[in-house]
Formats: sequence, structure tokens, C-alpha cells
Amino acid sequence: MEKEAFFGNSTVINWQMRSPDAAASLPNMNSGHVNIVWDQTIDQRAKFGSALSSLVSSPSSNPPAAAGGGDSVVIRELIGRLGSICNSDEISAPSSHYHSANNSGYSTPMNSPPKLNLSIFPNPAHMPFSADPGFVERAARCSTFGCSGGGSHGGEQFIFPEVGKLGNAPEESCGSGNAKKRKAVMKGKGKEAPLSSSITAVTNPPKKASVGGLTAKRSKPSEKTGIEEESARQDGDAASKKMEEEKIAKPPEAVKDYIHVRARRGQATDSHSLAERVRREKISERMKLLQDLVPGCSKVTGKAVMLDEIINYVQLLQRQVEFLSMKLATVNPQIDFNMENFVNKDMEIHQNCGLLPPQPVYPLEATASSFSFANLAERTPLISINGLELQSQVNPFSQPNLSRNLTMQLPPLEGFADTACQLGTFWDDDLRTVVQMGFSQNQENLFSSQSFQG
Amino acid sequence: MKQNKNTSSNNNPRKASMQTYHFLRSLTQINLTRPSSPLLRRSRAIRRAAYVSMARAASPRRMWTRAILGRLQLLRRARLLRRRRNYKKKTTISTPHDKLRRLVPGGEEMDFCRLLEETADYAEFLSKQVRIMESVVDFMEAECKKKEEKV
Repeated sequence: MEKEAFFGNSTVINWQMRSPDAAASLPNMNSGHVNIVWDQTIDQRAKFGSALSSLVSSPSSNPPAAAGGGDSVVIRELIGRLGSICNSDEISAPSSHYHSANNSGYSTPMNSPPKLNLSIFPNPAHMPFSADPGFVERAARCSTFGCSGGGSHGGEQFIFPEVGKLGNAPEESCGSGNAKKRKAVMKGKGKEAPLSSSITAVTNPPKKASVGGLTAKRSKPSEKTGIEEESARQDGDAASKKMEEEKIAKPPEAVKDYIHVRARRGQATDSHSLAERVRREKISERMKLLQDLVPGCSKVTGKAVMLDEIINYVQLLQRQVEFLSMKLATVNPQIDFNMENFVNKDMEIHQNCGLLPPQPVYPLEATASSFSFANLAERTPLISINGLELQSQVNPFSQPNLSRNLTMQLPPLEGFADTACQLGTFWDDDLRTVVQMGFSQNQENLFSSQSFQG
Repeated sequence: MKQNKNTSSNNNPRKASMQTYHFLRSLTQINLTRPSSPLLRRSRAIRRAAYVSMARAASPRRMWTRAILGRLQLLRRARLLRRRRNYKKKTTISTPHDKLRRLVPGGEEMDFCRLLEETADYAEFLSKQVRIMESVVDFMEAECKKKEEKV
């Protein structure tokens, strides 16, 4: 973009050079113009420079322009909107001198006499720039940088290639003195310096020195306003560093109530950091959960080690499942396997082996329960115990688990009601089907088992 | 504290019972449908049955359950497709995170936070499943011994 603009401008320059008047008057005009410029009071220049720079850097920076001259702003805005027609007006001429640089339309019809060029500078009312944002945008868009409105003769001085970045030639010429001043204060952007200097070398030699300061100068007002993207880019590193410091220093809620612009920029990082913090908390929470779950993981500290442990555990379990399925596959075909059969026989096993936990706890009910299991429907107050037994019977596969459950559930005879309701819920849907499936065979089997026991 | 334990233990046997129920049913199905198929295939079928029973017992909101059941459907539809997929999966580089991702079914699409959550749930059910299968194996072996004694 910049380069394009540059080349476009160079062609414009050539074109203007070709016109005899311009070619002849160029050196003279240069000198004369420069003199005029130097005649300006520093104040004006300051206003001018700041206005220009603000124009270049940001469309929304009204204050400097407004400070320069209130009434002219309106006119300038008008002019800006009018676009290519601007030249016809007397009043517009000085303004067009500044603005035409932004408009490609200006480059060709520049016929205004050189005297206008002179009239520009002493006129302080015209110094400030329009703050019309659309205008500036247009300026940024156009690749060919128009010749200055001051006239085709004096215009060469003000031709300037880079619209967005390097700014206008008048800015340079007028603000040079000021720029020198600021130079000391500001740290100019070095990368743009060579380009602009080369151009100024062609157009107006005496301002070479000011180039560095000029680029610097542009950055200063933008910093003041603080809204511009440019400044954001420039200050990006510094701002982020600041934000980090704030993050460290203050809690995140405090950062939100910061200065508006900073806050907006900070909020992004802040929200990110907040989200990150939440995520980390979640992860640590889950890690704790897993720590409880995975045996032998409670002593381990460190996330990576814990993760390894978890992986090992899950892998182990999966392998176990694999192994057990293999085992089942080998064992299975030997047995005439039936589910109801299985349930009943399992009950048998448990009763025979004395593995049922309720039996030692409630030895009296143990026999009764097996009978009452047969006539489930008529059960009355014994339900809880029977249910318990049934749970253990139907669910004999999780023996260790169950025994633990029972010990937990049954603080002996106190939590009787508790267990009753629990078992009620336990009973309601799932297991009933299982039990009912094997119901008919239950009786026989149970009886047989009883007899076996006896 | 006591109540918490009670509720957890109240939840667990129920889920475990569902798990056992599903597992046993699928086991019987396997035994009925292919009593004389080769060992490897049988074992694979049983393993699949174990996982599916786990997934059925767990809440359907979990990613891993959906992954398992979805995989089952995929398996039913096209076996070739699955083989190709597996082949592709083998060529990934492994960090601990990725390892865990590969271990937990459906873990490849989750963020890490979710993955841990799912892992916890999955491991719980897996341990239950292991216990169930162990007890079933024990029972079987006992049954075998009985038969031998009778003979």
C-alpha cells in the first residue's frame, strides 16, 4: 500500500514537473514557501502540526483541530465531502492545499495561482484540519497522493507519498520546527524515516532534519488520544506489559474498572486469563476426583505423574476386562449357561459358602428370608432384610463392594428404616425384572439349597 | 457425611446391578447365538458386551457411553470402515494427554477438562465391570469344579 502510494505519487510529481510553470517555479517556490513557513509563529505551527498528525493518525481526534479554528472546521468538512470539486472555491483553496493530498481527484485540476499558496500560511483560521472521519478514510484509501491544492507550482513541495503512515507534506514543512522540538522528547519510528527522508530530499531539502521528528511527532498526539489503532500498535508491547503488571498486582475485578481504553484492551487479556484460571481450577478439581478414584494415587504429587498414574490405572482396567473376557470365553462353553439359572446358582453359592454378609449379621432371618423370597408378594415387615438379602443375592458379583456397602448402610439395626427405603428404591425397576425372570426356578433351587445346608 | 455415603452407596448398587444385568444378558446371548465360534472371536464379543453393558448402565449424557454405543452401531454397519479407522489412529504421536485421549472412548474430541471428567466416570464403571466379571468368572470356575466333582 505504501509503496503503491509512493510510486503513484512519483508519477504525479513527474506529471507536474512536466508542466512548464511548475518545473520553472519549483526551486523558487520551494524556497519562498519554506521561508513563509519559517515565518510562522511556533504556536501556529504547533497547532498545525498537531492537527495534521491527528488527521493522519486518527479520524476521531477532534480536539486539536477544533482548537485551531472552529469555523473553518465546518468548511473543511464540507470540502471533504464535496471531494473533487473543491478547487473552485477561494476559501477552499487553502484547505485543499492540505486536503488535496488526501484526494486523488485533486491531483489533476490544480490550477489555482501560486499566491494562494502564500495566503495559506498566514491565515491561521485555515490552519487546522477538518476532523471529518470520512475524509480521512478516503485519504487513506486513495493510492495516488494528489498534488497539493496550493497550486501546481507550489504543490510539489507538498506531494507526499504515504497517505496513512507518512502523512502530508505540509505537515512536514510546517511542523518541522515543532518536530525538532519534539524530537528530543519522542522516540521516532526508525523504519519510516528513510523513506520519508528520501522524498523530502527531492522536494524540500531544508526539512530533512525534521523527518525523524515528524514521524515521532505523529505518534505523540495519538498517544494522547489513546484511541487510535496506530497507537495501539505502537504501544502494544508496553500496554501488554502494563496489563500483566496489573494482573499480578490487582485482582481481576479491579482491572475492569480501569481507564476506558486500557480496560477495553485489558479486558480481552483479562477475560482470557479469567477463563484460563477457571479452567485450571476445574482441571485440578477433576484431578482430585480422579485421585480419590485411582488407588495409590493419593500420595502422588504433580499433575504429570498423576496423569501417568491415571493412564496406567485405566489401561490396567481395560486389560483386565480383556483378560477376563478371554477367561470367560474359555470357560463358558463347558457350562450350560442360563441366566436365571445363573442367578439362582449364584445365590446358592453364596449361601453355601457363607459369603452372604447379612447371614452373620442376621442369622435368624437368613433362613426365613430365603423362603420369603419365594413369596415376595406377601412380605410385610421383613421386607427390608429380605430385600437386603436379595440385593446381595442378585448382585453377588460385586461381593467386596457389596459387603462394604452393607457395612456402610447398616449401622446395625439403627438405620433400619433408612435401608428399608433405600432398598425400596433399589428394588423398584431394575432388579425386579431380573428376579422375576428367575422366580419360578428360585423356589426349587432355594429349597434344594436349604436342604443342602440342612 | 453419613448421608452422602448412603446416597452414593445407594446409587452404586443400582447402577452396578444394571451393569450386571446387561452384561449377563449379553453373555447369555453370546452363548446362545454362537456356542462354537472360535475363542478369539468369542472373547472379543464378550469384551464388547462388557463395554456395552457399562455404557448402558452409565448415564447417556457421558461422551464415552455415546462413543461406545456409537462405535457399536458403526461396527454393526460396516466392519471395513472400522478397520481403516483403527489403522489411521495408530499413526499418531503420543503425549500423556493423547494417551489418555485414546484410552477413553470418544476422548479425541474432548477438551482436557472434559476428558478428565469423563475419565473419572469411565474408570469408575470400568472398575465395577472388572469386579462383575471377576465374580462371574469365579462363579463359572466354581461351577466347573462342581461338575467335575459330580462326575
